[in-house]
Amino acid sequence: MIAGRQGRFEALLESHAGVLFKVVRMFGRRPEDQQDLAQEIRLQLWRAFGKYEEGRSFSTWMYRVALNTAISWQRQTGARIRDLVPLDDATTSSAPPADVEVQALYQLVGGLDPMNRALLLLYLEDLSHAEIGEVLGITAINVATKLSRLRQRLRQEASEEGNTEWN
Amino acid sequence: MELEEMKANWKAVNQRLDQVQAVQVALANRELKGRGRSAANRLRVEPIYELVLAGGAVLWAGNFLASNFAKVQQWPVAAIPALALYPLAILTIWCSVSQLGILSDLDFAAPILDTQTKLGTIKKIRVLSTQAMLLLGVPLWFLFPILLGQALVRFEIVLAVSPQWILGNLVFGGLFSAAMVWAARRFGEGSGFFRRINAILAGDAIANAERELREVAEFGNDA
Repeated sequence: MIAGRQGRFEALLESHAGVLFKVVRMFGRRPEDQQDLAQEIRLQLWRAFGKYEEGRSFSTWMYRVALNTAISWQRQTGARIRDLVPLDDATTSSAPPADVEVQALYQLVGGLDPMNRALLLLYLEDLSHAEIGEVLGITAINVATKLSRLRQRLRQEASEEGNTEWN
Repeated sequence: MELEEMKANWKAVNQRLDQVQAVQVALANRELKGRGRSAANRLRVEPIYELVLAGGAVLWAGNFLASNFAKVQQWPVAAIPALALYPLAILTIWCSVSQLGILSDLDFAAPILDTQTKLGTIKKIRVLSTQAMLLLGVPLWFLFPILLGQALVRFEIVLAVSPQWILGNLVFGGLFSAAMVWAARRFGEGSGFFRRINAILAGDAIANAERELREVAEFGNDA
């Protein structure tokens, strides 16, 4: 019975591993932090799996558990991902040009509080406003408002950086 | 760069990074396979541990006062340790029960706003409890070896020592507390230990817990 449940859990986790990796990268700075957080999330997912209702979206459920764990982990460890290099240098040495843009994204993420960081991750993962609201526990309208503020903030930061470069 | 552009870049880079990370996480899981405890476990274990200790302290204090009622009337100083222990133990019990109450309802699969509000409240209670322990518990430091001694030898040590000994230890504990506050402020910038103590005593830790709670509440209300 337990072996069957564990097998089902492992299979679901494997097919949704991307969720785990992206949450870990969004909240963990160094590779060892990321591994620690990944382990913490796996433990929490397994513990919560008993209450998971078959038929409901596994990814929504997984986002909730993973983000809740990551936010509390970050608050506990005080981890910051400012100036984050996404994984170690070896993995990014042959990085495509798009990585420069992603570095800018990580810079933005580093300045966000954990709730907004979760919101941004869900947005980047292409979830609908309704789905994001379901994960976060806010309305879809609220999601749209917050995303609009994030856009404004991003533009403002970009224009400030531009001004600094010219001065 | 606009958010929409970021989304496209995010997808492209993540596809590559997911593969790298899959290997890293698999290796980490193999290394950490024996690790059964998580931060969430500690959340549950600590209040239970404190509840047991505080419950024991209340039982000892009640039992001591009841069995030595006549002696305590003749020699009131002997009642000070038991009476002083009561508020600290009751506060600890309240903090532990409150935390366990919230924890019993805590669900990591619930919406993030709900779970983070509960976790923030637990953190605030924990900081308050530690603050009380440091400020009230340190002056009563001498009670703890006495309680341990009594448990081992079944002898009312408090009644065997002089009133001066009890008062002297209380004064020493008070001075030690004051010295701890001074040292935390003086060396709070440099040492990690004193920084943590200073954060708790000066109220920074509670302010931090309240800020986190406010952050979560604003995220939910701000439409």
